[in-house]
Order: sequence, then C-alpha cells, then structure tokens
Amino acid sequence: METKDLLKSRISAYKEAVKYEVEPKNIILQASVFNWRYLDAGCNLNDALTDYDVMYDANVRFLKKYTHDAYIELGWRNPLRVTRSVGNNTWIINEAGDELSIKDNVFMEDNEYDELIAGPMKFFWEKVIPRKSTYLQRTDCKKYLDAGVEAHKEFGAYLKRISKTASENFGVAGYTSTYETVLGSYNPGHELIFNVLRGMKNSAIDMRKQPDKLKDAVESIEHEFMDPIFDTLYTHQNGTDPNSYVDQQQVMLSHSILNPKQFGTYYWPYLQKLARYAEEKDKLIFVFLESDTERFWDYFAELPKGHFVFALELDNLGKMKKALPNIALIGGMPTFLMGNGTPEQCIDKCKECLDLYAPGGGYLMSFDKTFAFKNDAKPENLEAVCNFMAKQW
Amino acid sequence: MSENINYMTYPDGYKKYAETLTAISDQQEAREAFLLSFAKTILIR
Repeated sequence: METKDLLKSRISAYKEAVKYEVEPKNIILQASVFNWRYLDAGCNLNDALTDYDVMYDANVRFLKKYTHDAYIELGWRNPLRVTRSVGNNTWIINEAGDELSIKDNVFMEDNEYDELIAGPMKFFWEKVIPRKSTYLQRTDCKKYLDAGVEAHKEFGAYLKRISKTASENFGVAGYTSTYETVLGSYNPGHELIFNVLRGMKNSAIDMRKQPDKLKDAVESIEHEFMDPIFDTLYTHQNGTDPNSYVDQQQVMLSHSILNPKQFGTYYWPYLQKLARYAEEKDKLIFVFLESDTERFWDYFAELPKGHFVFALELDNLGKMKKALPNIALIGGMPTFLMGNGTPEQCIDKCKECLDLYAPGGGYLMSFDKTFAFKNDAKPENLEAVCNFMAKQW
Repeated sequence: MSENINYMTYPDGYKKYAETLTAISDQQEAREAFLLSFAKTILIR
C-alpha cells in the first residue's frame, strides 16, 4: 500500500473503532513506548533527550524497525533541553544514562491556596515557575528566559520535523489535531495541583484539611486556563480533524488518590465539560488512563458513546469493555509478556486479544505499561508483534 | 534597559518580556501566545 493511502487507512480504522459506527476491517496497533526506543537504539538518555539529531535518528530507527499504526509519543514527553536551560532539574537521569525518574516535588506551600485562587497565572509566573526553574530567580533571569525560549522554539522545530517524517515516510498521522494542540490541550486543575504544585502526599492531606480551598483552586485554574480554550474551540468547525487520530488528549493520573465521592467533587465536573464539547462538536478524545479506575465506572458510563478512547494501564480490558460499551479501549497486551515471553507467545496473545476484544468495534491494541526500561520488552518480541499486526494492511 | 525590569512579575514583567520576542512575531498577541506555551511547558514538565 502507498504511504499516503496507508496513512488514510490508519486514520479511518482508528476513528471507526472509536466511533463504533462500523466494525473496522483492521485493528490499530498503538505504540506504548517511551524511553525504551532510545535504549534499544544504544543511546544514553542524556544524549537522546537533549540532542535533537540523536532524538530524531533514534525515533526514525524506531519507526522503521517496529511498525505500529499510531504513536502517542515521538519525543514530546520529556523536553529536557527546555527545562534544563532554565534550571529545572526535576527530571533525573541515572549515572548509566538508562533510567529517567522524577521526585514527588512540592512547589506550593499549604498556606498559599488563597494566592493561587486569586490569580493562577500570576501565582505560577511569580512563585511556582521560579521555584521550579531556579535560574529564573536570578537578577539576570532574562538571559535564561531567552535560552529557554530558544530551546522551546528548537523543540517545536524538532516535533514538526519528526511529525512530517512519520507522516510522509511511514504513513503515521500526528496523534492529536494540530489546531487543538497549538491552542492548548486539556489539563484538569486537579492534575496540575497533584503533579506540579502540591505533590502526591500533600494533595491527599489537603483533601482532608482544606477541601474547600482545594476545590476553589481547581475551579480557578480551570477558569483561567481552560475556559478561554473551550471558548475558542466552540467557535471552530464541527467534526473530527481528518488529519489526526483524535482531537484532544488528556492524561489522567491524579484520580489515583481519589475515592468516588472525591472524584465527583474534584475531577468529574471537568471531564463532563470535555464530554459536552466532544458531543456537541463531534470530536474524539483520547485519555491516557493511568492506574486502575473501576470505582469510577459509574461516572464513565455517562460519557457520550463514540467520542472517548481510553488507553488502559491496570484496568481489566475485558471487564471494562462489557461494563462500558460507550468507550473504545486501547490495550490488551501485557508488557510483562513482552519482556519475559517468546515471540510465539506474544503472537498467540495478539490473536487472543483480537478474538476477544475486536468483535463489535471499540478496540485498539496496545500494551498495558509503557516501555521505559531496557528489559520492558525484548526487541524480537516487539518485532514479532509489529510484523504480525502489519500483515493485516 | 532590560536589567532594570523584573520580568518575573505578572502581568507587567511577563508582558514586557513578551515584547522582546520580536523574532517570534511582530504581533504582541502572537508573542504572548508563544510565551504562554513556553510557560506551560516549564510549569508542567
């Protein structure tokens, strides 16, 4: 198949699976690979994540060697050159250069909620960003801002370059609508508080000690950052972007510390906002759903059918597919098998996933954990799965 | 002149810094949009 035809076929197959309108002829294989691809290419993570030529070559090698139909990540996840240029060292690479980790950082004190609520952007620019990016505390901060902006610009150029190569040479579309990505992806207030401001432990404490302030802070962040984006999105044309798999994407992680009632307070109202947008404007939403979520499935059952696709980590795909026929699901392949099984066992598992989950639509294949470490997958296993799934096109 | 401006204030310093980004655009609105994207990156990542 010609590359441009393959690109169109893949986008169609993806959208068909999510929309549940027709049963797709082919099942999408989505890559679930983060830093593993750099290690597989023999790179040190310090080089791969800061030198855009090394990053580009490693990603092109990955696209050539392991043929997937969709890639959620080809370098955007860890813009270390940008963050390091302003003195942000929250991401740590070990001495051997093969592991990337992050600490549970806290960049906001427990008595600063009022300041955050009063003006999130002012609080972020004046307090949080300089605490996180320490060079910006200096009197000569302009030269570091300049360096950061330059690195950000170069990073944008890299993303454009790899995206063009993936599309033109490998028939792989950009994951999310370019228009919506430039405007700003959906990032719920609770995620920001959990991931950036208060950290895992303190977010949990705040829910007990100052629940109302936490709720007000979530609302304030949403109001300042997300409302203007939604206002613009509502003026844009209806229908899903024909050049990408989905229109918006969101990572869900902070729900992992919430019970169903707390989820209803701090998270669900904002997911409902996204759901209304998806339904009214006929858009497709990808959610990278970390941890397990069964306790929230009563909420998820209310999401409009044919607009959401969830990539699962710990949830049982078969059980979820039965419970939530309104949502398309990505997963099925155990990463443990990729690291510990044989190519034959991996292909047998592929066949099993196709038999169990593909009938009726709403299924895309991927792996339950992202490949981050060298031993997460044996190269021969990933090659076998990719080659097996590629035969269907 | 730039050494007298505290760019890490909002909105004044932020807007003043955006004004310096003439290589990005000749429009202040576009410069501020670019700066917001940069700010979000260093805030979130």
